Amino acid sequence: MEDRYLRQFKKGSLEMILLSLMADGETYGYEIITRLNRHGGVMGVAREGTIYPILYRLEENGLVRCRVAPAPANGGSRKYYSLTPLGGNTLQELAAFWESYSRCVEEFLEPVRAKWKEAQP
Amino acid sequence: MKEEYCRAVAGRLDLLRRDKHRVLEDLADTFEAAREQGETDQATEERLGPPEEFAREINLQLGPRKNRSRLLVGGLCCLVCLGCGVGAALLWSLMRNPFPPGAIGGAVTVTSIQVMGSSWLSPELLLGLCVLGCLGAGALAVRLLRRFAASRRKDG
Repeated sequence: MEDRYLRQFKKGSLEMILLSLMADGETYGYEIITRLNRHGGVMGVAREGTIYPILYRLEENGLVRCRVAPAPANGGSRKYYSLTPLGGNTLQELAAFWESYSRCVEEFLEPVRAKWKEAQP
Repeated sequence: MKEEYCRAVAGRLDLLRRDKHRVLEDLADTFEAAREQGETDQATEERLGPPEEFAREINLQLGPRKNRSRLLVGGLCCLVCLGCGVGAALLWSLMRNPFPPGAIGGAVTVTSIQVMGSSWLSPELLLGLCVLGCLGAGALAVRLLRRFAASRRKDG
C-alpha cells in the first residue's frame, strides 16, 4: 500500500493522541516522542518535525499550555506541556467521537472481512 | 555535532521569525533531553533525520503562515505603491499647470512667492517623496509576491 494513504489516515488522530498523552499530567517534547515510539510498529516512527508543529497549534488554540522550567541536568530550560480545561473537554469529545466513529467504520468493514474469509481456501 | 545540525536546519527553515526561534529552541532542547537519557548526539541526529528533511517537514506545516504574511504585506505594498503613484501623477500634473484658468497676475515666468505660515513641504519635495514611496513599495511588493509564488510552487 502507498505510504501516503497511511500517513493521511494517521494525521487525523495525532492531535487526539497528543492530548491523551497529556491527560496524565505535564510532559515534555522528548517524553512525548518516546511514548509515541513505544507504539512505533503501528504508529510509525514519530518525529519531532511532525510533532512540534502540532504542539504549537494546540497551544495557540488554547488546548494546551506551555510552562518553561529549568531543565534538570544541564541548567538550561525546558518546555512542559499540559492540558487546559478546554483541552480536557476537547479530548473528551474527541474520545467519544472516536468510539462511535470506529464502531461505524467497523460496520462497513465487517461484511468485507467476512467475504475475504469465505474466499480463503 | 548538535550545533552543526541546528545550523543546517536553521538555514533551511522558511518561517516567521517567532516560529523559527521556537523550532530551534525546541530542537536544542531535544538534543539536551536525549543526552540526559544517555543518547548520543549522533543517535539523536539519526532519529531526527537529515536536516533538510527535518526542515522540509517543519516548513510544510508552519510555512503557510509566513506565506500568508508575505501575501498580506505584499498586497499592502501594492496599495501603497498605487497610492504614491497616483499622488505623484496628480502632483506632477498640478505642478506643470500651476495656474488655474482665469488667474490674475499672469507673471511671465514662475515666481516663488513665500506665504506666511505656509508648510515647509514644497510640492517638489512631496513629489519626490511620492516617487520614492512608489518605487520602494513597488520593489518590496514584487520581492514578497515572488517569494510567495516560489513557496507555493515548492509546496505544490
